[in-house]
Amino acid sequence: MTEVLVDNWLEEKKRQAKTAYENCPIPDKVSHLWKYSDPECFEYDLKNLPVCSSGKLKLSVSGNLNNVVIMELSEAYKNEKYKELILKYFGKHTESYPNRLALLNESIWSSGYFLCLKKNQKVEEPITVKLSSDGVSDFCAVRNLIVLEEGSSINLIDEIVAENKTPLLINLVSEIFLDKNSKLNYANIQLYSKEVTSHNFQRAKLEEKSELTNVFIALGGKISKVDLGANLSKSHAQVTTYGIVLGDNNQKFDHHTTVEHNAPYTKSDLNFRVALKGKARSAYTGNLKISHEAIKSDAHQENRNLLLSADAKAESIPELEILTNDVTRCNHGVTVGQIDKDQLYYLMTRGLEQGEAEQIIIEGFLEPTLSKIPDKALNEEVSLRIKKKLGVV
Amino acid sequence: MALELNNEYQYGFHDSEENYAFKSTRGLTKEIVLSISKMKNEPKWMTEFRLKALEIFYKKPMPKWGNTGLLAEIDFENIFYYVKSSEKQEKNWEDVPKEIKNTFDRLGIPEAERKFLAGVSAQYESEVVYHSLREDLKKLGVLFLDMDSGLREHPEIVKKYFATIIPSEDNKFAALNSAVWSGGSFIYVPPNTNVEIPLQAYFRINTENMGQFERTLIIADEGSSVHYIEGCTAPTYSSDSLHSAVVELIALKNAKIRYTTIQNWSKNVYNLVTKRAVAHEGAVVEWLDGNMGSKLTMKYPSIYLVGERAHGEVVSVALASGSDQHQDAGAKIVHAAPNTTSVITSKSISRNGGRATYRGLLKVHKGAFNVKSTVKCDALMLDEKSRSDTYPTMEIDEKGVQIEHEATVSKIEDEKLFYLMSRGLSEEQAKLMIVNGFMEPFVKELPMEYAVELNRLIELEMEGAVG
Repeated sequence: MTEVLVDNWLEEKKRQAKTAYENCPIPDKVSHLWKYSDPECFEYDLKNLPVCSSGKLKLSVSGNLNNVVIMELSEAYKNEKYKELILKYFGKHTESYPNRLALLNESIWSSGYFLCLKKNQKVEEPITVKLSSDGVSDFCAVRNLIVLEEGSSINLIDEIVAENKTPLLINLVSEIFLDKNSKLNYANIQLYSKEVTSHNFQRAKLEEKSELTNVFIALGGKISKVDLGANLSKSHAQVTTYGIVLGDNNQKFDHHTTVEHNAPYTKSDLNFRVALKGKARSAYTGNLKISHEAIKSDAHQENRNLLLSADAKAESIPELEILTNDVTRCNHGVTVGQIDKDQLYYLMTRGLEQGEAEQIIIEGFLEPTLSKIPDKALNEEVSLRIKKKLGVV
Repeated sequence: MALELNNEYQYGFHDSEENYAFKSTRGLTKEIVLSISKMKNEPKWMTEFRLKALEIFYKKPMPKWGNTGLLAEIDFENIFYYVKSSEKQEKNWEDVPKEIKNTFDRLGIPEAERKFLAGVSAQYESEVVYHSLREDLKKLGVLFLDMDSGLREHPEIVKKYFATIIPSEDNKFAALNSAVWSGGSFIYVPPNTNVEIPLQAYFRINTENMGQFERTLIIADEGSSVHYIEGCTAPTYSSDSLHSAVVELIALKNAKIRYTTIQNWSKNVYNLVTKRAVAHEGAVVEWLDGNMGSKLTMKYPSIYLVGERAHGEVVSVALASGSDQHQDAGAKIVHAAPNTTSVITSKSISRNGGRATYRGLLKVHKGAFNVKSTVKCDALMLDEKSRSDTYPTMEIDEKGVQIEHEATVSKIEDEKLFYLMSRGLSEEQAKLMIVNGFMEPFVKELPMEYAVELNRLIELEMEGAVG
């Protein structure tokens, strides 16, 4: 590869992705991943670009940034210190997991960050990355790249705010690479206005003994589709996923998780809690694969749905594909129900009004996930927003 | 005791084909459909129904899900769509042709029949050749006929219910069955009649490349109850055979239907079956579904709970043994009325590279409040070559519901094995005991002779599981 090509590498990537995108058909609704969301909702006509309709999400970072490298991805590429890492990792996941919308992202992304932790750097205090929209664009493609080198660890929070009054389509792709013994506590707080349609594609590759904790809180948006994938590629790697969906009115949520156990002694745990009001609709589809090599794996998948109105809808498809018998544990569970009348009765006998009692039960239902948000202040803020949404404050 | 513990298919013998009264040519054309209908002297509406279904079959694409690789290997042009093995219906066992009797003797049917069976309609090839109905059932007014006779003798009942549960448009294989169906059972139980003895039919495939397209229709009128048992054995042949039945059950108000199947097709058979039941107010439908044989089985017994307080239950076991076997089975339950309840219990065992798949649907329609449903899937994997998949789907459109789903995948635990072996059992005996325990929820629901037969099948299958 010549120097010139290296300089143009990102541009070349964009061109290649554009061709691949154009050749990639719109997903078939038959495939279960698209059964509950119309793929057309996330399409964007490239002819509209590069007209100024495409906007950037403004990036602001808070927290103690010593020892942390975090900057706009496009800036990082220009920096000789990080260019090599970007050449090494950028686009690796979108290559391994071909996806039309990720290719769309790759061909036109304009904002997003690059986060890197050097070997053995441990950052205790949570770092909050706030992405906010300009409020006028109708489309933005965000691209993040997270690289944790051996033995490093960090608490990272993505807070995505889009208070748009006009329709906005967000296409987000995050690629995560966790080297040996590294540890990422990641939380994604989605606070979109009800004009936003979003597709969030996250893929993570975990090396030996690395750990990923993924917390996804979905409160806003008109249509939100989240596609999470973790590849436990080396032994003792571990991924834990917590999700909260709280929907009302006509909100639509579609969460998909794929966990691939590709090495011995790998562990995964997943707990998705969904509460729906009004005419809100949620689909959760999970795919848990245990390959032939992944002996002594331990996998658990749990999805609980609370329907608070007669018009709410919940779908759940937790799939298992197991190719070895030597598993430590492999199970999944789903429940769909309403507020337990016995619980309600108990609380009301203690003098609570029905509304208050329901409130407490719903909060209790979401609490196990909520408590996993690594930052106390943020935890309180999210709790407050949930209360607001439930109509308490 | 000298058991036949070889890996050869147990019932892998077949008769010579010379004595066949009629043999159609391979492939499917309008002419074949017309000649089937003509030969059976069918009313005009049935002929038209068949022709319309044929058009639908041509138009419908193959399923895009499941084991599409194996499905693509089906050569529709290389299949016999209708074979008739003797000219007329036999009334007594003595009149059944000797050659056919020999086959049944080896399957043990006459004994079962003599003991306590109400009626045996032994489907030999595409036509029912033997049919008996006990006098007391006749007195009760219970109709238990093969489907062809049912259409001839009770056209008004058949016309009223036929294809109302599974229309030809449902899927490609239902359309195929609708076009070329032959044989199967027709049962009508009058109101408030309780059929105490299970009604039973044996099915066999015999001619190489011959498809069997049974059509079964069971109607339990208000307040009645019936248990129907269908079991299959098939001889081994070299090229693939297609079995595509359509089974419709209708349980009217407060009626109860239990349908038990154990299929043990030889490993060259595609078993692509559409089975569906409708349960009206207060009715109960139970599918007991055992899948032991075939190359590829795709079977998802369904229950539509359309009346208040209806209850549906599916208990199924699948044994996938060897890399040439894929059991893609499951259950579908649709709650379309308030206060309905359902239970799905699925057990699968995969060994020797076999693949067992559970594919299920649980749907709660709007307005179906106060619904309770439990879905439990357990998979046991006996070696590291095998595969187990679970694809459950839950679609809930109503809030007043209680839905639980649970699935586990496990192997035979070393602790359990150790415990049993410390009590003096060999490893093989211990494993068999654990497997039998795992299958217990299914086996205990079966009539005794079936339970014995199934246990023996498992024993045969488990042979060589050690080492």
